[in-house]
Amino acid sequence: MGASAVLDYDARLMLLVKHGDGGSFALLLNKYRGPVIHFLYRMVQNQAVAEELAQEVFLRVYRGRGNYEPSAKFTTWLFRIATNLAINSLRDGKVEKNHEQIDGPAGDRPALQVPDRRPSAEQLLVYRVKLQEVREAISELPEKQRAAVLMHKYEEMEYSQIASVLRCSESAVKSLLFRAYESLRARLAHMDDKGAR
Amino acid sequence: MNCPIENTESAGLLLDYCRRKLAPDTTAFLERHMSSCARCRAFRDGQIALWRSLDEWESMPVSDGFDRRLYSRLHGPDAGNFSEKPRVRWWSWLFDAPLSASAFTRPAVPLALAGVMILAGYLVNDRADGPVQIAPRDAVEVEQVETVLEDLDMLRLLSSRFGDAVHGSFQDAAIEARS
Ligand SMILES: [Zn+2]
Repeated sequence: MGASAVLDYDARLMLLVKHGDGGSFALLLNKYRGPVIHFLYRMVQNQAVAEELAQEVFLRVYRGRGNYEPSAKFTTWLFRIATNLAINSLRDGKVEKNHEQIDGPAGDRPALQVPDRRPSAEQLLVYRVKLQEVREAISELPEKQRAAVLMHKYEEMEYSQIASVLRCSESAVKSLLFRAYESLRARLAHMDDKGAR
Repeated sequence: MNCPIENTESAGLLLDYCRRKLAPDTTAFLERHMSSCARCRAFRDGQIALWRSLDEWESMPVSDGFDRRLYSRLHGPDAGNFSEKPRVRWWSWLFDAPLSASAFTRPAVPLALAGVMILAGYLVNDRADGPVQIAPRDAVEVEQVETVLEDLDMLRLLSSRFGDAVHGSFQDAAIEARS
């Protein structure tokens, strides 16, 4: 069996993109648009900047198609581009920290998803406070720890894949995650006592 | 055992335990340890509570114009030759699922290959004996050429995925049909 048979499905789609197949690009875009934007949004905490960075991610995927070599999982390559763009954007200071307050004007934010259909004013307030605390706690993590936590928690990536995205060893990833979660646990420990879901 | 929390390498095990990603025997092993280790129990409880808190942060919906903006940039001056609309080939459903070593045991693949063989045979016969004309000859030939070219596309893809064994016999048949 040829080497291509062991490639993941996305890498095979990307090889078709490399050979000019726009349909395969559309499939990849459809599959990863959401995860990439959500990851970037949690990294930079600004919807407009996250979408602009996501545009750049997919433009780079498309423009880099000629040089694409399926040496790693497609998602590793994709999230490496996204992570580098997010970190550069944060370093450039283009993103105003916590620019979007959750209790600010609605804008293009989604409606708050509170478990009860008709939350009381108090529940809504508690929810908003908790959400704001989570966002602040994540934004206070150093960039690499933040990226590692977001990939581990929300994208459910394996250590090896996160290591490949961040170009470090698996044990370095475990160390990053361990320290990051330790900070978050300390920072958010009181939230679980409030209980008010 | 040494407490896994004491080094970050084995603390990864505790994280995996909290995500329920460990094998049953490792899970049982850790649970035995935790029954007598307050530190690991505290880590587990704290981590599960933390993830519950992080779950509060749901993702944002993607704005409506995202794809439109992207494609307008892709179609800009440096876009090159690129078609936005998916070109759906009639055989693309064969490859919708990830391939596995057992791909050839699925009945659809051999059936489709048999279909291509029959089509190729038909086209060879067609040229020798002359078909029943239900459309102008030129139009039929254009359609046949398109079909054969599409079949060749599929054969190329198949041969790149399944190796040379398939390549030889089917490629010859299709080339014969085209000539
Ligand atoms: Zn322990």
